[in-house]
Amino acid sequence: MKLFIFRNNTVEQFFGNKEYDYSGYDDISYLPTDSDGYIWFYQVPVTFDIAQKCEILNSYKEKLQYVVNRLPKGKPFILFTMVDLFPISYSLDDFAVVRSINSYNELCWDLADTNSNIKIIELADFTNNFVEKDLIHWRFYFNSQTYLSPMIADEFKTWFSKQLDKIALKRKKCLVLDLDNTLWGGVLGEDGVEGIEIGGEYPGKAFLYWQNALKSLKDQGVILTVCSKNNEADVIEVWEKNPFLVLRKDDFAAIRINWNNKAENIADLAKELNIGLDSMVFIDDNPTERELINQSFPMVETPDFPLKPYQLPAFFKELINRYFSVYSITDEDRKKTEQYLANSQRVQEQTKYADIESFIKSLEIKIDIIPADDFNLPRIAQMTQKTNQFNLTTHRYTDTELNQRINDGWKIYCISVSDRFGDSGITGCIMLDGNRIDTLLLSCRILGKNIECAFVKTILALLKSEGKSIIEADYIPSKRNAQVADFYDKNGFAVIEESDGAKHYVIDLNNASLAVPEYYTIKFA
Amino acid sequence: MYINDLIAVFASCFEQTDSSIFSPSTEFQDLDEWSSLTATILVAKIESAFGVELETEDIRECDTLQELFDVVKNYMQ
Repeated sequence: MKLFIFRNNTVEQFFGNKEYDYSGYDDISYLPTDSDGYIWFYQVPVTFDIAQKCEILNSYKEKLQYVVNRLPKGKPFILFTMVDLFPISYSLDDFAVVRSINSYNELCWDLADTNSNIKIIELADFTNNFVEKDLIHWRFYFNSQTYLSPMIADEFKTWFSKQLDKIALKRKKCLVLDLDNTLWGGVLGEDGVEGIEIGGEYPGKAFLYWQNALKSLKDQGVILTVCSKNNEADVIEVWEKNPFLVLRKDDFAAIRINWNNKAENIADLAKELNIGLDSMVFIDDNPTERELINQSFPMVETPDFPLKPYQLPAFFKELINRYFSVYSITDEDRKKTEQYLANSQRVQEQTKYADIESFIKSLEIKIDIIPADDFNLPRIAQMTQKTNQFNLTTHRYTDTELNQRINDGWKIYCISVSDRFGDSGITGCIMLDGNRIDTLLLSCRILGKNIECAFVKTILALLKSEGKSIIEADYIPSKRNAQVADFYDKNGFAVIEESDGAKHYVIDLNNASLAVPEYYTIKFA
Repeated sequence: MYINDLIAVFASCFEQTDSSIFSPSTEFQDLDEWSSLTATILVAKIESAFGVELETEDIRECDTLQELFDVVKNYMQ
């Protein structure tokens, strides 16, 4: 992976030479079409003449537009917005420079709105953490034309790699919340339903803001759960009766309110929701509980809880920055809590049926098979980044990479699954490179209903109807995908090559059983 | 400050060169990855770590890490 950086100053200290190539300063004459992607990182020019500064800023806009028009459309292109690190105002009512910078940034945002391969990185998000004298070191500017000070290069690298994670849509999935002195002030068992502090005057007001904030986070698709040492009946009563609470029973996808060890409870929650412990963040005011979780499950994040309730807004912001902020959020994400709730209802339903098949029948499962398009591609890319367990090859793709594959002739289908408990949305996909299955994955929340077999067989039947006969497939082991090691074996594929646990398969469609039970309603969209 | 502290700072300026090769007798100007750019990174890192503002001249006059250490130490006194 090699990215090409367009720049007007020395920035090698911030990116290094291993993974990046650089344009000349302010030079757009060389447009390497074979780079894996591009970064545009222009900084405000150093000049003391206002008119000249504006003119140069305008010329940057033209250059940017020129380069965007000429580079291959399918490749990732990261645009840094601009921050004036060294503003000089001779008169305060002269807005020319600020306007020019705004207009440059507007262009960046417009380009990102209209080109799905262009992603924005807001430089201000980094520079806001510093004061002017740390941002510019004139010694380095004059020695090596470094505008942003190389003294903060390490901080920049950390921040930048975090931004790349956000673009790759990596974030935590689930917050595990304690109740007493965490979601409200006071102890329910001692202070009673009316006595806990929520709403009204401080500190209740701070907890109210905190609950509102968590509700917004939930609306952005982060799953909220409760893990508290309390009597469950007391908590149910407070959820029903206290008029000031914002978060109530239905806002939580799963709850563990009991006197058991919290480590067991968390392991249990992860199992019930079918998510990894490494996607959980544990919030508890009690440092001993945090330490217990930290020691039992180092992969669970256990941030320090603020000592004073008035620190909660700042704490919330830090949680977002560290764990939950992501470049874009899909509609699928936003519906998460509903979907997980429906899932736990399904699990409870399952115990009513004697055998799995009559349970599946009773669900009235509908599977829509949809070819990849502009609307579902970000979701498909996201699934390749996040799905670990039911993922045969664990190839990770960005939406731009997938666009390229489609241009290369790949066929990509996703499935949208619903049943009588609710709509799980887009939760699986298959990618075909000619006669080879490159990727097959399903989100864990739809597993356990043999949907994977129905999906694969329907796709194989489609390929057969298109005149294909031999299809190849692979299983590549990862730390997390052992459960699918024999998926292809069980579905009629034959191993033709095996090394280090990786298996290469073929199936002859003319001799394969491709029948799918009729209780699935399967449609091609 | 000990020479190992300086060597650690020095090694952190490199991406591709294996840090285990650095010793007081390393003639760093001959390293493949050494460049004027590495020199500015080194100047910045030495300033953060030891509070010493080296000139690029100072570095140019050194052959080995031991000599560089002596220069930095000299500034600190």
